[in-house]
Amino acid sequence: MFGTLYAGVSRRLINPPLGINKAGLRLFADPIQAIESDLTATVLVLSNGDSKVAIIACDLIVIPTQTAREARRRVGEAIGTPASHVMLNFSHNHSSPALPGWTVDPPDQQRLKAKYQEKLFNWLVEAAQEADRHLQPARIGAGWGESYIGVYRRETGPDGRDVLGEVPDHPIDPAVGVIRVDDLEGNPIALLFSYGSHPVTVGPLSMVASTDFPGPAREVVENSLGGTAMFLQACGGNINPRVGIGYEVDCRETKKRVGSILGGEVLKVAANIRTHVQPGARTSLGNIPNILFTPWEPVEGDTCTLLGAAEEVVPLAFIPLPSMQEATTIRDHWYQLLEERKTRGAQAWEMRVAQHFASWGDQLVEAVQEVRPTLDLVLQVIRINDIVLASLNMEAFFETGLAVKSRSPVKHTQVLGYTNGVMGYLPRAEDYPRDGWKVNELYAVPDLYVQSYRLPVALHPDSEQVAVDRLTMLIEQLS
Amino acid sequence: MSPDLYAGVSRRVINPPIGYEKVGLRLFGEAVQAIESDLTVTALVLSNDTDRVVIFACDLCLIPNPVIAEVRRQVAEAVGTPISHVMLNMSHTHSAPAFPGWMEVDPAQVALKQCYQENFIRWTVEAADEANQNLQPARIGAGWGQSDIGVYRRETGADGLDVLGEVPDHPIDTSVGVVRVDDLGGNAIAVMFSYGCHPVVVGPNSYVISSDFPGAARAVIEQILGGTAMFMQGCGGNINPRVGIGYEVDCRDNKNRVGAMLGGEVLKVAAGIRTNARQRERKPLWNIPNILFKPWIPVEGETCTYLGAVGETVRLEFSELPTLEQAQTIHQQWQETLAERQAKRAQAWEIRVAAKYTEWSRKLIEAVQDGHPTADLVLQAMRVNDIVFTSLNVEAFFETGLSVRARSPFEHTLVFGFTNGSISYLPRAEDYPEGGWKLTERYALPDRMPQAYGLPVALRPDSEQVAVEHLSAMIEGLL
Repeated sequence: MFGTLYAGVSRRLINPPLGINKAGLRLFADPIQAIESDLTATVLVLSNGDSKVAIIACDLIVIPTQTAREARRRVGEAIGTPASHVMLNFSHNHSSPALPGWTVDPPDQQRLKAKYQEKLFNWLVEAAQEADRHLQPARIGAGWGESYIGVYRRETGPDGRDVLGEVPDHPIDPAVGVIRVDDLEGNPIALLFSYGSHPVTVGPLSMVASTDFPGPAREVVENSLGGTAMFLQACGGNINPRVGIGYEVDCRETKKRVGSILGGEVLKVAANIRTHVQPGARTSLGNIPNILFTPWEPVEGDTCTLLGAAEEVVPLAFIPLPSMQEATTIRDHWYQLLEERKTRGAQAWEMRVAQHFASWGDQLVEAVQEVRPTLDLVLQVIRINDIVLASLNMEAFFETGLAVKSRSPVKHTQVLGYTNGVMGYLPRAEDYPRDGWKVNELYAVPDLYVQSYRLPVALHPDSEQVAVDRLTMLIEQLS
Repeated sequence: MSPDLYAGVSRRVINPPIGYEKVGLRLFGEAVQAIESDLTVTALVLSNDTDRVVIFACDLCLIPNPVIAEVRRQVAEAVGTPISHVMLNMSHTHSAPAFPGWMEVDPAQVALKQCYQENFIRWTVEAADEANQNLQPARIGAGWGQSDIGVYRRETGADGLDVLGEVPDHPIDTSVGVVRVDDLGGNAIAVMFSYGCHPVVVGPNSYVISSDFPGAARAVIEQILGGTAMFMQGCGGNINPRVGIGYEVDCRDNKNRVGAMLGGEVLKVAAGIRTNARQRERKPLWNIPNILFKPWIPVEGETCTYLGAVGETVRLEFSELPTLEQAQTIHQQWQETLAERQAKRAQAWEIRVAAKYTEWSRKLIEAVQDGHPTADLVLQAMRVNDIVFTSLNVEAFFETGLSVRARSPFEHTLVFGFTNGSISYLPRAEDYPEGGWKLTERYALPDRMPQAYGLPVALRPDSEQVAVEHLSAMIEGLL
């Protein structure tokens, strides 16, 4: 395991064709009219000769686990490493295209999406191969910053019901995790940073593809320090930008400002991570008395003390399913509602919701027939020296990230949601409605809105605890 | 008072020629071998038609008081405003040229310095004139950040004596004051930021001209936000960079890193200051229930509610002077020491110190003959809307800045030392040695070496309190 660390990085544009639908439901579902900023996939390959891992930061919102699995398989095969060693994180920018399987699509959208997905696979493989070819001796270091660009978003309205809004005084996890991968001279090859917040400063009225705030944050880092910056979405499932979801058609100014605020913090932290030098013993200069200097000395020794990855798939249980009769009634209700809305010329979002819920109704019926359906929770841990990236294929809440970090024996543990697929929200037991989640209720906050991911019903409330326990154990396995 | 604020900015490069001596004594006194980064003077003119102020940020260490007075006079005349409305702050970068009068050893240097001084005055007046011509409608806003790139530098050595070193756990003033001047579209015209710390990251073994960390910080802001960035030295008299005084010949990496850390913080704050838009009350989008947005609406109304400046010169008293006989003896001793050191070809810094002290002791005799010498403390306060810039022509300590801010009725009160000249350090009474400052003692810390500034003896220990009282009264006068 000991020896030399090698690193290589590469990036591909992954812009979608105009006209492809975004992956929204109530909001953010219109076809893309323009590319506001280039969407990218950036691959960092790290190797020590024996093991090799690939970390991919991707400007997309959601991707089914099955699709992510195929992408990881292809990337792993291309660079000669197991799929378990390939981590695919999504920034969750809402101004990005949906992939096949998100919702019920007309044929033209199906074609666009299928073609885009195939291109995406190719781009990821190309970028990984190029990063692999670029491998060079490297050192790695990590640090932490803080940012308050995010705000807790589950607000209670005057009527006591949930609102997707803001609770400015509610705790959040302000941590900004920063990893710096340098060449042996201390020049950055790659700068990874993670933060948990929905990238929705570019709002639903902007019918564009946009990196949202992670893009300008990366630009701050790249323009100021050099190297290639990678944003990794952390546990922002219940966090929105403090400025709110963009309301204007042109949200570029706010996007850039929020990105600059985050990028400024990353810059502060990254600039202070020195991988090639360390302070030496204090000394005087010549015979000048009483003035002390701290010379910098080169860092020597192994550049890689540990490089490895592990993955585990945990089947998560759902809450009790309705009876077949209840399920068919729900399905029929939504199909009926869909017809009604078509007839009265309802607003586009209302049509989308009815269509999506009708489709969900079909899946609910199927799930009831299956008797005990489960959801595959994909957990993954990558460790490089004293740094850990631990991930879940869910929209994890900030509290989940804090729980894993607090239990990890490795100081620099970054916890990433939205990785290797996004299959739904993962609320904690206490985030469920007091009287339990109800299949007939229409909830306001997306994390209770399991229909959007077309899960039959909510996950069992202990799911988050299961995830924390298993992810912690996986980290310990690599310690 | 006019309701409209106008702003204009301009910059000139103020590099000295190669071969020119820097402004050091024990350290930083060598001749310049290269321009590592351009030194600049940047002028910001703010006007409301009836009043006009000029603020300069200048990459120099020390400018003699008569030169500053002449610059301010000529600038005032050029832009049509009183001298009290012209503020010139020095970054105090130690990789900067000396002016005539600092160290007169080599006749060739005297000619170079005289020429540079004339150029400097011309460049400064040109910059102000151009900034005045560039005036355009503007808005102004302010905010605060935090940075710990500075460290308290008065360390007590193992022998109980002071060392110019570091006390990492000692409190400092971490605040970073940020003022953003925008055009009416919200685009940055100027971003001014203030922090208190000696710019000595580029150390005495680098025989170069360098803007040190302030230049690197400015570059971050200008590259990301646009506009012209201005670094204003705060009250960094007893603060050095946490990385220490540069020891290496090539200090560029550290300079860029420290600058990036400060620039990153400024970026965070400046990106969050919006002068042209504010968020209105929340509202839903279309008929979608339970999701709230915060639309941005234009800022309306007056852009200038107040613009004014005041200046005051306070005569500071000195500690007890020696007798004429004692002064003459001291002078004779230093003359002999200088001759000795020159004869035995002592190290350059030893000769510089002896030369400086010989000149100082000559002034000491003059002071004793004068009987009651005083030092002119130049205080200034400017107010632009709810933002106040206050300044002292001394190397003020961070505690002085905190005192003035604590007493100011204005939330956004920025306190600058090193402004309109620099006559000396200004330690607080409690910073004086126990038993009082002694003429014959050789202190390690520059703030106990009034000889370096050519003051006959130390200022009276109550001088700092006098400064705080007068400055606070001036600020009150701007209410």
